[in-house]
Amino acid sequence: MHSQTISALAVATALCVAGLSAQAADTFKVDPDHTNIIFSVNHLGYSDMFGQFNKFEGEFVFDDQDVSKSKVSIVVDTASVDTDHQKRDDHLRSPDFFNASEFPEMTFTSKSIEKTGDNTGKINGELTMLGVTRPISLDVTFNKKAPHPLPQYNGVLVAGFSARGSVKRSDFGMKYGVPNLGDEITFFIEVEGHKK
Amino acid sequence: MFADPITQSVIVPAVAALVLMAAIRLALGDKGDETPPLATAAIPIAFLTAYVVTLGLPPYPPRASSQKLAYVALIGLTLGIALDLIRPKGPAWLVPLAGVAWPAVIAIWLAWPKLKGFDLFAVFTVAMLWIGGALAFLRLSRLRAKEPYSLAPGILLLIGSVGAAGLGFHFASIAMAQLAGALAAAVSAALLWNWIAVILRPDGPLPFGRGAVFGSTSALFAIVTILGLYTETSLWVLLFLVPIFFAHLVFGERPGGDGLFARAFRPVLLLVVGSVPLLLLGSVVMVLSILTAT
Repeated sequence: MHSQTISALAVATALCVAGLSAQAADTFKVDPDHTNIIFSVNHLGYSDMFGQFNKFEGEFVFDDQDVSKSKVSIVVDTASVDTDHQKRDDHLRSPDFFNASEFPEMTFTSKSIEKTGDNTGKINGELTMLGVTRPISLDVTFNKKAPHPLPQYNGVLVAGFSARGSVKRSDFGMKYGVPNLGDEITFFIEVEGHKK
Repeated sequence: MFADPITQSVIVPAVAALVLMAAIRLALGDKGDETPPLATAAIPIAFLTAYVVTLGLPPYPPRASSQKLAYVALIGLTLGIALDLIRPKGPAWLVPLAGVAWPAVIAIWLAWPKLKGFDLFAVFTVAMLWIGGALAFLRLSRLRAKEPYSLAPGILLLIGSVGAAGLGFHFASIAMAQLAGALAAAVSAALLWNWIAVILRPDGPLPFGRGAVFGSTSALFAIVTILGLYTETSLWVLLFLVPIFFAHLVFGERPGGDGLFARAFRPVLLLVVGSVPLLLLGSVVMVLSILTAT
């Protein structure tokens, strides 16, 4: 009887731990309606011009108990580049810049994630653009993880983050216009994900 | 200093072509039929100089089509020089074979990202571009073989390059427009040299070697192929460039004879006649733009 009780407790404990860990590491699908992948690049030294990508998909695993077990992957449709100026967008899609017809996708995959503060961390990953893969670090801030408050979302668990980072476009072979048009591209990423 | 687009696509290639032509000519001297054709190899070398100034050194191996462009021009130049060295003793079919096979290699290499995805439209586009490119290669090679001192191959290349530059500018690839402009500037510099020389005496110009023909035509064909495959440029619009390379057929053999006046104005006349397809091309692009806008 005693051994049966111990076994039952062990099974219950194991189930609880498994349940907790499943809760701690949730997989989220990126919500494109509430996610922005924005970039800025210097224009002739006068100002920083902003643009964004309108089409992308991705998912992330967020483990708030052990952040190092979290991971992110995002695929961006380079033809969806949008700077609110048709001619400029056509030029950005051309072989001079994102070369969207030849390289339709730009991907980011995390390799390691480290915690730097209570709600902050650093994502080290690889960005593949124009067929070239280079390491990139994003400074990320965890904003919130909670069930969606609006009834039409049926209480789905939502997690939100802000990320910032930069790359040198010439490292990816995008050399046209450097240095008149800035070499450094800064990313401003605001992402929300719905638990899958 | 080299960041200005006019410097990149006009001044650098024109000055480089003139300086290199003079340097090669002086360095090698006049050693009969073999040496002078090398001097005009300065044209594709000047183009490559402009490429490096505009887009930097291309990586090896190249990944993007715009990076492959530099290698295409370099291999084309080498192939042309090799043909110039081999041809006097080699078989007659060698140059036509290279003129047909080489543009096929260029088109397939540049289009590979699309071809490996079994994109049928890309296969059709590559086939059409190859036919157009092969016609240009064959026509220019034939002209060069028939009249080594003629300015005609250079004039036709100049018109074709200006056309490609205009299309690149209109269809949003300014880098391709600049590179086509750089080719036009390098060819113009060589033509200016040769035009002055041809006025002075009929065999005065530096002959348009196969290094110049294959190097320059390879660069132009690669630019046109990139425009056709990776920009919004319509294939049908690009095919308007092909008749340019047949403009010389409008004239008979040496129209106007060999007098000073004829020697001076025959190239100008060819420039005007060869530009007619370019005017047609411009009109078609304008009409298409208006139709698309409405």
